[in-house]
Amino acid sequence: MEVSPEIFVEQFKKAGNPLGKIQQEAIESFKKAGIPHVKLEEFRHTNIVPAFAKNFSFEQKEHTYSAESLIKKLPVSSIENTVIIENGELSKVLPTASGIEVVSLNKNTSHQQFEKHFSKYADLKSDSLAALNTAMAKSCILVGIAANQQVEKPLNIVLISSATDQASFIPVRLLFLADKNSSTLVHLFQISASENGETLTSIVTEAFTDENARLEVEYIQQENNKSNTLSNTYVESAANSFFKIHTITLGGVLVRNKLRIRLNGQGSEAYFNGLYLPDDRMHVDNYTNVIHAVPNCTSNQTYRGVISDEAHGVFCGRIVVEQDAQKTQAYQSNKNILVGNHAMVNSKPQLEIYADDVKCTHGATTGRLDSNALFYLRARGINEQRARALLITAFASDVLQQTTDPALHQFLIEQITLKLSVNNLCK
Amino acid sequence: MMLEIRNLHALIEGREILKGLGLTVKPGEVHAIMGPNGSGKSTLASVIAGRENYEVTEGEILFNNENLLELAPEERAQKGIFLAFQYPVEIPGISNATFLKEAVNSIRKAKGEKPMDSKHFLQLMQEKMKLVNIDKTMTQRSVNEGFSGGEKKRNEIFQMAMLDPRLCILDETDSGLDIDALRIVANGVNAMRSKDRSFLVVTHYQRLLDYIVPDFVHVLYEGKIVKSGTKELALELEEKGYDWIKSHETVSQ
Ligand SMILES: Nc1ncnc2c1ncn2[C@@H]1O[C@H](COP(=O)(O)OP(=O)(O)OP(=O)(O)O)[C@@H](O)[C@H]1O
Ligand SMILES: [Mg+2]
Repeated sequence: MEVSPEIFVEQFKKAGNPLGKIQQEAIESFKKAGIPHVKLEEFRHTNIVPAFAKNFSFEQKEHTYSAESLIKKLPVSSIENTVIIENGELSKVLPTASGIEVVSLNKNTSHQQFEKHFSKYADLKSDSLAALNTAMAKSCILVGIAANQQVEKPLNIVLISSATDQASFIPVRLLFLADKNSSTLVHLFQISASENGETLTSIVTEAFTDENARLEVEYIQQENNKSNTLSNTYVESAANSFFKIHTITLGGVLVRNKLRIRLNGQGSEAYFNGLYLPDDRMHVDNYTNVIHAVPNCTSNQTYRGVISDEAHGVFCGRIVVEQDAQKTQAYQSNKNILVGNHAMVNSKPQLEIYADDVKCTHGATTGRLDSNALFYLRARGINEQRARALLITAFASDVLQQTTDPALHQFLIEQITLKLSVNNLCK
Repeated sequence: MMLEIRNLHALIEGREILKGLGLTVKPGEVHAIMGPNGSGKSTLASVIAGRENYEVTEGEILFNNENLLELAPEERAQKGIFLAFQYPVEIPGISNATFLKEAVNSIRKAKGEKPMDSKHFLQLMQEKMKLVNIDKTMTQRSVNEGFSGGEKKRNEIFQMAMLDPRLCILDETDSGLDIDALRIVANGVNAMRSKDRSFLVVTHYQRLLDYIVPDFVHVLYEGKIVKSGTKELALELEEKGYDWIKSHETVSQ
């Protein structure tokens, strides 16, 4: 099937710029750049073109599922503090903690913060996927945390994507604004409405952490094995702010997470952690880009991958330390375990350092499960499949141990154990 | 018979290490195995425990009259074989306690028993911790990670006590232990001696055998048992060194 930007352009014309004239610019950018192909350095190991080779439906479908029952499977302790977004549209906001605002915005709503921050961080010129998302989005969902608010309980955001017999293209647009001295933990769950709906979800998330703000996101990707996700996250941080994200990829067929932060205020910190466990023929790509623009900032990236069957994992971590960014501390570590003889991984650090007083380390390893450790466990009576699963969970603990919420931590361990018990690890 | 090894030949990476080894161990007996570096002691221990990178080309190993060579390492452990490793493996990310609970319950499951609940498991741990002087923080740390040499060895004996095996193979458990730890470990082993449990104790030093008094002492040399005797043999070796055996061996060939 031919893949061309045209179907999106046509659809764009029908929609009539719900988010304003920025969408016109966006579609022009997208038309010019087209769908990124493997000749581009950023997409060298990830071919997203097949995900676009679909006869997409853009319509909102009848719901043939119950969002409530889907949520029951998630570690959402109470239905308070929960936001449901179905196919990119805000569908339910259950009572959220005070100080949190969740609203769906477009050109007809007037919102000062929205106007100030919307589409200011995503780079439409160089990122044609962000351009596509901006052009196609029907609304932008803003999550605002008011100044000085210390939100105790996690805010759950559940993204549900659905498709019937035709593949769906789903644009999701999010904007997180953490005002001065605020602190929040967000659980972002991404799930499919059914086992076999075929979807391509384009998510663009922009986030701004103001002075002394603290924003933590635990992003759990658990879509069905026909779902494609292209997630592009752009974060801008002000002085002494803190941003942390865990990207845990447990499902989907093609998942690409681009994550960029610009540390733009002194004393700010960024933590990017990721864990991906692709199996079957799944492909997961984490592309990170940390930009140290000012002095005295810290960034730390820990990515762990367990790649089974014929799956493919990609990690590319780009760190840019600009000339002024003295006293930068930037760390990066990516470790992968290959299970099975056809699993594959590409891991690449990319450092561009233009300042001289910088502490920067990176390391990448790819290997198999330690056969000494495996024998040790088996020699204590633990069967091989279980021993492998234990070692894999232990390997993942570098990332899992950093998750903040105990209920989520427990959920992840269970999900991973379940996944590993289904997989044939003894190959 | 607890263990019968006949004419065992084993290769690693194409090189023959065990060259026709024979050994018989009855229930309740303690056998010491001594021999120069590289003679094949750890190889023997690994082959009994089922390490897969060794290829057995000839001979057999029977454990309670059952052919061991057909069993996976975990099945051997479930039937009561325990190897205290010469070099215990560090496993970051799994706590000692979690690891032991998995092991205890895997063995129980294989025997058709119900898993042990947390309360009883903790009780069992507390009881066995005393045996080799393991403190609580050690059980909460990752398996062997950052443990000192001596702590790793004590941890092996602690695991052994927890798993209650029939045949215990101790591969140089004494090396790296200070004088007090040696006594603690030996006392732990002695407390476990019983008429239906046997021990294979690999060591270089006669000193351990003052504490754990063996019924038999064997000398393993170039992949074979070349001399067997009672505990006095260890004293003789200590005095005369292996050259004495080597020359003896050449003469007898
Ligand atoms: N993985 C391996 N590859 C190649 N050779 C090996 C391997 N493992 C062991 N060997 C060789 O097998 C021989 C016997 O080794 P083994 O560890 O059994 O000796 P040992 O009697 O236990 O010695 P030590 O007293 O030093 O512990 C040695 O020559 C050793 O180099
Ligand atoms: Mg040895």
